[in-house]
Amino acid sequence: MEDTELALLVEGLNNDSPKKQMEAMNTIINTVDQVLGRNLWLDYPFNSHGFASVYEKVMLTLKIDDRSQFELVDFNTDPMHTEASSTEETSIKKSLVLITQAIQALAKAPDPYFIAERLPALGSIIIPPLEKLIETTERIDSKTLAALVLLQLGSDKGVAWLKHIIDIGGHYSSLAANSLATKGFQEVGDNILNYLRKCDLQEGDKLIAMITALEKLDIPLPEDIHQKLNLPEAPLGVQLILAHPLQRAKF
Amino acid sequence: MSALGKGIIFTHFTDAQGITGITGVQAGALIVGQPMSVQKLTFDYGNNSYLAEKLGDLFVTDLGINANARELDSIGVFGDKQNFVIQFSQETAFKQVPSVRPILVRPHIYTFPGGTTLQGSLLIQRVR
Repeated sequence: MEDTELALLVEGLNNDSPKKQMEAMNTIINTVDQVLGRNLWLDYPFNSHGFASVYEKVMLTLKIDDRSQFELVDFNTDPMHTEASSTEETSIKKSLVLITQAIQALAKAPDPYFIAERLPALGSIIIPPLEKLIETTERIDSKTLAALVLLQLGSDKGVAWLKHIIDIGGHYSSLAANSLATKGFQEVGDNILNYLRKCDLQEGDKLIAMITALEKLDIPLPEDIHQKLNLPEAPLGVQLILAHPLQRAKF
Repeated sequence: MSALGKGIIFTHFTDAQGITGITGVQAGALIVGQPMSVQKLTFDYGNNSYLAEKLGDLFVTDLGINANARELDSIGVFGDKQNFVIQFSQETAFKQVPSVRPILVRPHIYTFPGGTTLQGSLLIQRVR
């Protein structure tokens, strides 16, 4: 990849236009897909076939001897400027450069939401650098989005942070609560109940999301919280949800 | 109360292919600015939006049909996807069996499961 082409992609990733960010992400996803095959990566670590075929392809071309050392690949260096011995090696290194840029955009872009929205399509190869990002970044939105992407990819490294976000009712707390509930993290019920006990009654959308997450976990609303929410001054949506409990699909 | 029911009015922006796939109404039958009632919505699974509860989830907004192109850009709705709308209320969604619960992701962006079917007070319209 030419330096100018890479520079344009990086500019797109870090742009404040969601459209430019998504276009850059789509280019990266398509490029990585052609080299590594993203569908196989999505199954890590649960699909041994995917792990063996794709990880070993990267390990062999980058001359990594031990599978456990894969996490030691430094995503923050620029492997394009090291010597490549084959076309395949060059392609894989190019993919790693692009993945690195996408992760860095999650950490640095003015609004990284649309970067995060596309990241899971890169598959489990992004798990190690995202887990590293969670440990190092001080940006709350980047950390929360990274934790949500990790959850989708099967890593629970960001679960403790997501529970904290629910506790404080921070950005993406509604999505965090429902994503954790959908994945069956039963213990998140305590965080949701704590939030509901201290929340402002006018936080209508968040209240609906939290009540829905509790319903997914089959945790009934305690009487004190039900009384707090079931008031005429509560938002209409909250009154509606209390009147129409979650009806699940029957299988 | 809106003719669509109580609570927030959710709008799903889509293109000509989307409106036909979800409602069965041919896009060419819709005139700009003239809403049409439909009885049923059958949503497929999303294929290009990933930061939802699950892969394949769909997105709606509380921005109305008068949202301009810049506002729609800011929630990730671009190009031809700005041309058609499907609208339903919180009340209609919450009363469905099984329930449909659009969940707030960030301001003006809500997610709900792919494969959802909705019946009741529903409107579609070509807006551009």
